[in-house]
Amino acid sequence: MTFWLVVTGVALLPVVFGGRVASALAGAEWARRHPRAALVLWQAIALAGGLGAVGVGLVAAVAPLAAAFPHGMHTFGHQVVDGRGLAGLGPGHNLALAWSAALIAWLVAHTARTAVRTVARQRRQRTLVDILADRIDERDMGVPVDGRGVGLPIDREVYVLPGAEPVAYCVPGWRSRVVLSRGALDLLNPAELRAVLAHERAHARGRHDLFLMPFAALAAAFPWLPVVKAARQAVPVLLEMLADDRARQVSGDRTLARAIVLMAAPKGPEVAFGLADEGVVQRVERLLGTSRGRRWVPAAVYTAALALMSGPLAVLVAPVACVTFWPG
Amino acid sequence: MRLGNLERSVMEALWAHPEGILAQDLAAALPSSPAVTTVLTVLVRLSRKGLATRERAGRAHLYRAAAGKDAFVAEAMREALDEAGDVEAAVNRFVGAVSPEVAAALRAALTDRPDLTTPGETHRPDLTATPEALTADRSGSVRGGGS
Repeated sequence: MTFWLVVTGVALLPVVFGGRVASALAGAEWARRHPRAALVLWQAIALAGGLGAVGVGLVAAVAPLAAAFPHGMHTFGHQVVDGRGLAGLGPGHNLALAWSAALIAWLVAHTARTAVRTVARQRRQRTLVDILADRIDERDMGVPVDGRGVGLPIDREVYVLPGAEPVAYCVPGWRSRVVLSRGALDLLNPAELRAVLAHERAHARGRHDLFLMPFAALAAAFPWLPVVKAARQAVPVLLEMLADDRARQVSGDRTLARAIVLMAAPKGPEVAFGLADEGVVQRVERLLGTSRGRRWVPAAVYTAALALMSGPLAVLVAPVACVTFWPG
Repeated sequence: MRLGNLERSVMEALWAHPEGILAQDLAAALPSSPAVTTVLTVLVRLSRKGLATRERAGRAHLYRAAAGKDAFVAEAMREALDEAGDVEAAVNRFVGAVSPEVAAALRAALTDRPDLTTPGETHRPDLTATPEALTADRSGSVRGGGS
């Protein structure tokens, strides 16, 4: 029982000591060199934290039913099936069970709400782009050809909005759309445009929107939790770096850096908040810097992520494995 | 895709008739001369998406664009220009806007490394010769990791 509590509790450490752990991770130099590894670690922290918080409640709740947690879970399952529900559980155990149930409901509700809202906004954005943008071939970039309605292969198709501000984005989805504004076409030279497009296509192909969604849900569910706040700031920048790494292979570091600097310049006198400052500076710095990552770092990070996940996974898997391998 | 292209032409026609237009007149105005029922289907879809509105005019409906083209373009651009946190964004934008000081410092960081300049990029005087880029504070955080 104590063993199982400790096993799940370890997964909660990053959440409990969230502020310090998370800000160390968010500011880490290695994270910028290995964004993929850092993202996996963030995902492990979030998943282990969520599962661990639910698991701790379950372990505590079924403690009086059996010596070991998996058997306690079985006994509890049989009780529920037999209609004897909470028999044998004290008030404290009921409270632990309520904690787990409420946490699951809270997480599911916020995930559903975030997903529905994001999908609705993406659909609206797709509708607008389809109605308003001209479709051109990436290879004809710079030439104002209106290839509207031409069935271009998706990896060459670019949607051009008739807006004067320089803007570049991708609307994710099963058929993603890479969008540039006329202003971006005027601002960037062909090499820089290729860098921007490679970056956006990396977002689209990697479905970075799906990676981001759980973190957006967490930010909505627990906005006051330090680890959530840190993840909310760090994860989007790391995803940008991941896309940058693809784009720099296509266009070279310096061309991509120039594209970022040109596109990040304030678009008008009213836009001077500079909310993107830190992330943009980090992205340009790593493109202009000469230091390279170390090969052992990702392996070490993946190991840490696995270690973090092992406790909550064991709690999830143990009762299932018991039923599967030793039924009765 | 066919219907998507028709949606575009129908919207263009609605924008060209801000006073409102009947479905049959709209069908006649389109160069591809689609069937009126097809145009009606598209108009219903556009209304459902909030792009068009309709009002009764005798036995038929008068259709209008829900807003001018510029307003819709502004909305399509806003998603990428918004200063809201990236986590909530429905799109993956290339880069957010930075403050003017940071923009100047970043330009300076680019010009700081002439050794990295590739030939053929010298036709961009806007980056290499801005006065603020030369006078910007370079002691701040904008410094390459390996320098």
